[in-house]
Amino acid sequence: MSLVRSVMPPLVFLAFAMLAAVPWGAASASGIIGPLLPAVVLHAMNSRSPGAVPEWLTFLGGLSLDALTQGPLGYFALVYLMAYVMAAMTPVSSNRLVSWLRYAPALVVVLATAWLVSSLYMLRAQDVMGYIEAGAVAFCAFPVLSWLLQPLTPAPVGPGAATYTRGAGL
Amino acid sequence: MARMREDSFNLIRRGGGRRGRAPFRAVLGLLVFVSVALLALSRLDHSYVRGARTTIAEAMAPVLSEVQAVAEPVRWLIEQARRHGDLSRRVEVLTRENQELESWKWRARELERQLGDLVRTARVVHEEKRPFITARVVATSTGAFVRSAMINAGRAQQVRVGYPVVNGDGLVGRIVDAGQGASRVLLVTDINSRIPVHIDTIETRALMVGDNGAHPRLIFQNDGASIMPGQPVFTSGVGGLFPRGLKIGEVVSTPAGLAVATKANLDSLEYLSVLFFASPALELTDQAGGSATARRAQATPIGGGGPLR
Repeated sequence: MSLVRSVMPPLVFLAFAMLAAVPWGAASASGIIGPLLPAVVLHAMNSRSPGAVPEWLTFLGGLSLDALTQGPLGYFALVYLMAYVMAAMTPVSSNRLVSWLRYAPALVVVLATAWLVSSLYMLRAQDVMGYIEAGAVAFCAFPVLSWLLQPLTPAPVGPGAATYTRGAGL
Repeated sequence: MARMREDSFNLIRRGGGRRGRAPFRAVLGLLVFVSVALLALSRLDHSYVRGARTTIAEAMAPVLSEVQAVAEPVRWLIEQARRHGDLSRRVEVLTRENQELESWKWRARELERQLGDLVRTARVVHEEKRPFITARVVATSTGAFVRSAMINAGRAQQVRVGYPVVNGDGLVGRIVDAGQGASRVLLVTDINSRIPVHIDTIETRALMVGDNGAHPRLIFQNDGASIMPGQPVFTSGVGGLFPRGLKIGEVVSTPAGLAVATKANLDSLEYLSVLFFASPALELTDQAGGSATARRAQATPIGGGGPLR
């Protein structure tokens, strides 16, 4: 693994987290479309190469976004950590279509986490439509970002990297 | 035994080391715990969280200003697309407004002449011109929690907590956190925003309350008030936090009741002007609501310090 390939995934993730705080001038129902894109990037890179973006950097990216957007500290950190877990649990496939379809359940879990935490924090159920809208955008963005980021992501370790099992140590 | 200890430390293992799979490390569990703890502290609005948020945001503000340059072409494209889609409707609205304004023009001239006569007769003291600075929006809020924007001007530019913030279209919000080089603007749509307003005429008063939605609601209208959609809404100046007569928007009817459609497009803020509006109420707000940075700044004022007058 070259130095560039090991350094680029974290940098790309942090850049996307930073760009999510920039005002783009586009209205959205939930305001979560921008912040969801770093989670898409995280999944695209970590599902291909586990640990390409380490968990502590995932946390820091989320925390920075929380501070920059003046939201509650820990919210996007938690959402991105959930995206990290889902990326690690998603089996790798060389087929792009299969990878895309396998992303759907991971995205649903991440969105459900975002909605649940936000509803618990505000002590009232949040509008689901905004999250569905953001989910649709993220699902469409995944194959594009995955294709764009492939040259920057280290190749999969091997056939064994495709599955993850709990408790299977040395 | 050693294997058990290792597995309990590694909360979830991602496969076996022989096959090259990296495990979920204990640090992941720790980070999740820290995230939840920070969320709880944020919910309690702990002063440490407030201070940390301001410090991080202020440290990142210069970086965000640079990132704006990258985002500018995309932002321009989005703006153009929205304008283009809205063009035919805008032309129709402007044509109608133009017709109405033509009929008002002669009346405005007559009223201006009468007002001039009255001012001279009553020897009215002219209001002082209010100084302001204009700053760029470097970050906006996301998610369901807050409606705010961060601007690249702070106490170094004499910005204080409580100052009203406007753009070319009208009132946008007020300063709630002021660091040395960056400040946070609480938008009028935020759930914590409460602004006394008057509607159309000075007799009709109400409280404009944000709910994190697109249109802040109107509550506590005075008895017998007849409020109709389309009537203009201005700040009333009651309470002393805002000057009187700042334009906000117009009344609209929503399923939840009467609300205000802000004239300023709060989804695409780019430059904002901070009005240096000093009042005793604002001085108290600035002293009480200031963050750790703010308190440090008060201890060592820049350029003479103290609220502007």
